[in-house]
Amino acid sequence: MEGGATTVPSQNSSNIGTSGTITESDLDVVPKASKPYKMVLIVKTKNNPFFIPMINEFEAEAKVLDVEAEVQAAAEESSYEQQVALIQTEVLKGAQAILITPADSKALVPALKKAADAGVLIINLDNRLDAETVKSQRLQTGGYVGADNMIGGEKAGAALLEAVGGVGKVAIIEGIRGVDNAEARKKGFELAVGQRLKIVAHETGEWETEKAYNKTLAIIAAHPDLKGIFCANDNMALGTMKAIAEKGKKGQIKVVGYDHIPDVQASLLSGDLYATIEQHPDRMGKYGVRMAVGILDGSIRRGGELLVTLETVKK
Amino acid sequence: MPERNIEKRSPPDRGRFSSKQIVVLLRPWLTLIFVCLLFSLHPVFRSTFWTRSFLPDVLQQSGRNIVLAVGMSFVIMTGGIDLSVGAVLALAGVGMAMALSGRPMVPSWLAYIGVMPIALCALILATSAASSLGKKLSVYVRILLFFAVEIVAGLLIGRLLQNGVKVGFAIGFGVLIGVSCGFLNGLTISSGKVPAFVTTLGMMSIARGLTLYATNSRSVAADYPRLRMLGEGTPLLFVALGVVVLGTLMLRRAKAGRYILAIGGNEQATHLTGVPVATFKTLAYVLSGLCAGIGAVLVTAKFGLASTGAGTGAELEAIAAVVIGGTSLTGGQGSILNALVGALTITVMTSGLVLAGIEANLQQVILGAIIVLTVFLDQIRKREG
Repeated sequence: MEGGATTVPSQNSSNIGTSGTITESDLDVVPKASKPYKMVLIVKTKNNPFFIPMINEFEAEAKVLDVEAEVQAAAEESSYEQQVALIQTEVLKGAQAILITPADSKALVPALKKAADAGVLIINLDNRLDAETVKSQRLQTGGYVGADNMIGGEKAGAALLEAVGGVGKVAIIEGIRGVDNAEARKKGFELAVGQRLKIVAHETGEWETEKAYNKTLAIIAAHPDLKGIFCANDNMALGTMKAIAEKGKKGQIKVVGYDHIPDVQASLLSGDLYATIEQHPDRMGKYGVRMAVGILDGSIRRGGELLVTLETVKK
Repeated sequence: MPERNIEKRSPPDRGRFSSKQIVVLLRPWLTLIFVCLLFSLHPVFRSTFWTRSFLPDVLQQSGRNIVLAVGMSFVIMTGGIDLSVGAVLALAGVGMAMALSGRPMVPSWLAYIGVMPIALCALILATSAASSLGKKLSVYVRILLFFAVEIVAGLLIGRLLQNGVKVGFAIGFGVLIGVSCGFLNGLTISSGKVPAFVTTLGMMSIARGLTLYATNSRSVAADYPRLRMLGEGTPLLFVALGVVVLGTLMLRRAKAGRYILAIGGNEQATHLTGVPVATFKTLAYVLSGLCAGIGAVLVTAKFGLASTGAGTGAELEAIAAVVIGGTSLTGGQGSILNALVGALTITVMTSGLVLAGIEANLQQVILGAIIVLTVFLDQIRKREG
């Protein structure tokens, strides 16, 4: 399997991936796998509902394409050592492809390199591996399927701009500091509202409802003329909306969330939540399997990149 | 330590408070005032914090931590620690939410966990009834009785919970889950002789794992008006203060409170005086579990949602509240009211840092430093007092 890219027949009609980027339509039709390949999806943790649709679609699509599917997860979002152990175990168990959402974009590269050297196809989902580390360790992955959190942040910023009418003070409640997706969402948001809105508070709710609630109460007290809040996930938006309701500021402070979890559906309908960003983790699971099967069967080149389309969901 | 509470068995004489005792009583309040004044150096804090609309916010945010800190106080007074309260809160929360809606259904194993206190009560009642008749139940009879009640009640209640139940019943179920976890902690620590730190660390992992397992990692909606009322301003305060009052009464007026303090003061000596140490040690953890269950009700009610990540880090906040309240981690002394003051102090600090617009990464640094500083000042005052 080593050097799989060279085994792709050059006369193959679909040279998908040659340019580096793949679109969803490129993977619309993938024939069933020629062999029942053994695929493993290693997610960060099952603790985060974000990964559940990814897991479900991964399993469903594996069934459609006739490949063997297995799912593994670490206990917590940041437990990358556990993911390293899982990778080693799966290589020993004879996995042919590992689809992984890395808990750490750098620390996992050596373990993945070993797996790739053993002939396992690596597909990177969601949280992108650090490009420089990948290069310096000479890891050749099969490709990347994910969402661009920065574009998501920009979309959220655009939604909040629209909600507050293009002017005023706003605040951001971030996820855990230092985590790639939290930082990217913040950056995208800041980029989108940058000059036009004044971001008066950068607080972190650490992805938790209650923490976001506490922070929001204090932010509203410090800035009574606040017009909007962007919460880097919907869990936190629930806490923020509660604080806004308690302070009697419903309608005066607009909220934009991220992730589109089922629990915010009612708030979207009532208008308490102006908008949220749908990242389609389900599509990441689905296209991840398709890409892996395509590469193993030689119809897709290695090293491609697929960004799933993000959506701004409103009422 | 000069002010061992165990020595104050007789109700204190009002007229004979020495100045030293007054200082001891006021100590945590002084910490709170110190923190308030320290933050008041900042103009934004000064102008918003001391307004009539912001102080209720502080109470609202503290509610859950006050409740957890009361339970934690009992555990720390025995010289133990309970690291599992945050995770137990999450498990009790999702258990209650699932019982309410029946979507997803309460798994049968969770029903068995929930009814454990019922089986335990049956056991205690039967034992005391037998002893009043002058008989003693053998160990085998007791074990048999416990499991019989456990299985029958588990089956019945598990069946009952499948289609969703009334709010009151679901609240009861959630609180019972908390009590069960506390009981298992207490039993392992007092009878199994496993250190409290290890036991509750294990329970923290178990309860968080069960929370995710039971819900398939999804938060459970609990948007019922009659439940959500409990998370609103006055009812929430009422519950939190009620827990403080009951806790204080238990500590100061009941035999159990005196025994718990005595165990923390000198476990060996207490044992030698004939106090059933294991029972009262277990009771402390049961109370902590009970408080985690009540905390779960408050949080779930407030947000209309039982989040699988609820209570993350809550154990540390509760421990900090107890410690800032002046209770020593070595046990043997302390007061419930002080834990309330400690919880308020923490909220003042966390809100204050946001009000003052301190950079979020620095907030953690300052928070940690202030916690150590307040306890340090407290130690100095103690040595002088």
